Amino acid sequence: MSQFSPEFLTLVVDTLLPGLPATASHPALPAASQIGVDRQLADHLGQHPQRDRLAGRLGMLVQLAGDEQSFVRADMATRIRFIQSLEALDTAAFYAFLMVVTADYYETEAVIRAMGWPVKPPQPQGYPLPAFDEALLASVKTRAALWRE
Amino acid sequence: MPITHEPVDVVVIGAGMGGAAFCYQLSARAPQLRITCLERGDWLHPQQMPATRPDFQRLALSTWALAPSVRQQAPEASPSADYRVDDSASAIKPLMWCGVGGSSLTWAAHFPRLHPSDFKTQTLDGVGNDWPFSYFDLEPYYDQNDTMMGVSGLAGDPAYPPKRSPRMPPLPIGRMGEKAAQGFNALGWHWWPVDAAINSVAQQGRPGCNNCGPCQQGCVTHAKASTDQTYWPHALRQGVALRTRCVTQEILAQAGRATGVCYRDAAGQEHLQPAAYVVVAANGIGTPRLLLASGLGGDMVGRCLMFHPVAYIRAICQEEMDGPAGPIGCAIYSHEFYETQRARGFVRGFQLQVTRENPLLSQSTYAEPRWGLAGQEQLREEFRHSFRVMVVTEDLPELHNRVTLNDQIESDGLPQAKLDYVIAENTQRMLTYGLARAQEVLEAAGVARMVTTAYAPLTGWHLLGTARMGNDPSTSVTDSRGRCHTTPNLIIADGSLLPTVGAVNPGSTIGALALKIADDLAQEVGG
Repeated sequence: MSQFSPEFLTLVVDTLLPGLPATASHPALPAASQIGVDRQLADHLGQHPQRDRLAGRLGMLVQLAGDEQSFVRADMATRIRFIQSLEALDTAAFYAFLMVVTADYYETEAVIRAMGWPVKPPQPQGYPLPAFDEALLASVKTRAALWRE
Repeated sequence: MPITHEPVDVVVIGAGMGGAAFCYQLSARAPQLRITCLERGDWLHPQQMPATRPDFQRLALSTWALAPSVRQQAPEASPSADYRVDDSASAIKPLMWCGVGGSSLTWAAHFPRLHPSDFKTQTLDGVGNDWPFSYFDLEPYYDQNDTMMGVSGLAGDPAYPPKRSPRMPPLPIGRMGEKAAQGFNALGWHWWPVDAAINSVAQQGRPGCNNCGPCQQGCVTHAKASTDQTYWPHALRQGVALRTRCVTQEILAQAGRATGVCYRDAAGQEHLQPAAYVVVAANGIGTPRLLLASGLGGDMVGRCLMFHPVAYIRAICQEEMDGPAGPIGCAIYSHEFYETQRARGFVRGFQLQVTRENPLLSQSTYAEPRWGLAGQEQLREEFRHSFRVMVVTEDLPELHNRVTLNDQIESDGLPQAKLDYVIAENTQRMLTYGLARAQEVLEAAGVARMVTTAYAPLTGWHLLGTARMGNDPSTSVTDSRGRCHTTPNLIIADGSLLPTVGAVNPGSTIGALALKIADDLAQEVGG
């Protein structure tokens, strides 16, 4: 059980990763809470090796907002300002926190698929690439030696 | 109470590129010698590597990050036998891997040679120091190292003297390589597909590369060469004894001669290994750290630390590129600006490397801002549409750039290494000029948008110059055979030896040099 309310965690992850609407060339990207990143964050607060650091950043965010409810009740622009303040306070610590949240997000099948990449680890299949076309080098091959004795 | 072992002829410290090549060559040339190698890390198995795991992306940024300082903060313990380095006063942060195979386990396997001019920068350009031998003296060892590691590439590059060693077909350069090549061709600038120690086809019992991408988190298939797969199986068959998880604490010496080493095994037990020769190949930080901790090697030990300072431009294209498919390292390079032309405002030169995109999570760290609507929009626009042109500059030797020791004793029993390193003004001018050229080539290629990184601190792959060769004991640590001037049976066989470093990745040169140093010793002992 996290010390932070589900509502608070949902708004934190959705402020960080709000998702994007579909465009002519891209499918929609889900908001973080739509794919359960908020619940994963709650789990991390119980068992992640860096749970104290994660809780520390969230605790600092609550302090910056005044209390949890002030963050929850705030509009998006205000929540962004709170998180920007958190980022400015200790950028390295914030990025470590952000990495945990973004890793959960960008490793999710729905997100990988929406970004146009195959949902599989790099091995064992790898990826096909066409062989090198040596004709591209035609002009370079005519050059005199560039190296000095 | 230490365990004292039977004396050996040669004890080698470090099983990476230098140590592996040295052990192989010496055991082949002088099979009568008893050779023992001590390695602080362990063997790395494909099952440990992340490329088959769905969470490989986060592992690449934590347990398998390039920087030991990042790995040490990771939730899971890294298989690398890392030690802490105080890099707070260094503009570039060191990257390395400690285990059998060393940093070749996690390198990108770009395998260029130095240019002939790199061996005589003082004579040609009045800077740095000449090597005590020439490119052509090292050339047979470059060829041998190529053959042992296996190189994909294309003969005929006008930037180099002809290379005699056989090559597998070049690796695919992909859409992004072709895009950059269009730019180079439009400007009439040199470019060439990379020499890579990666199999493009099956060879020597290793398969061809399947373009999976994360070479720097270990190669699951072994298509990428690492010395645990290339040199070590031969060296072990030739009788070299390799003791892993053994951290050398001190090189022992008496009356100006090394007498052996004291080391600690994984259980914390101390051992004494007497030896007629002690060879150190622990990389450009580990080697001076051990020499300094042992009080050996003279006043020049640790000085003239060199990296290859890097800046880069990320090219964002309208058309789709390859994404994170293909070997992560260099696809094509340009040596158009490698040789000195003083009108450019600096001496010596740089290479341009065209490299691939990272996996999605890594790409997300390039967005500015990294989070929120704008960050996500930027990432969606860039992913599968970007590549990088890196400016990789020559670093010149400067006494104040150095490795020293702190008072603090680390958990491995040795004093902490401290780096003092600033980027020289000449190098800074080179970086600025190089970025302008990278921009020019990308404009010529019709790239839509560019993002410049003028300072890239996490690029300390190449740890060089800290036990340099030379003929003058007042300006060098060793002679041309890697022998310490102060302690002739103490030999260095790694990148620490390089008096100057050119502007290319050093793996090929370190391997070749270690082969030569071993040959020199074999000749002396009657191999």
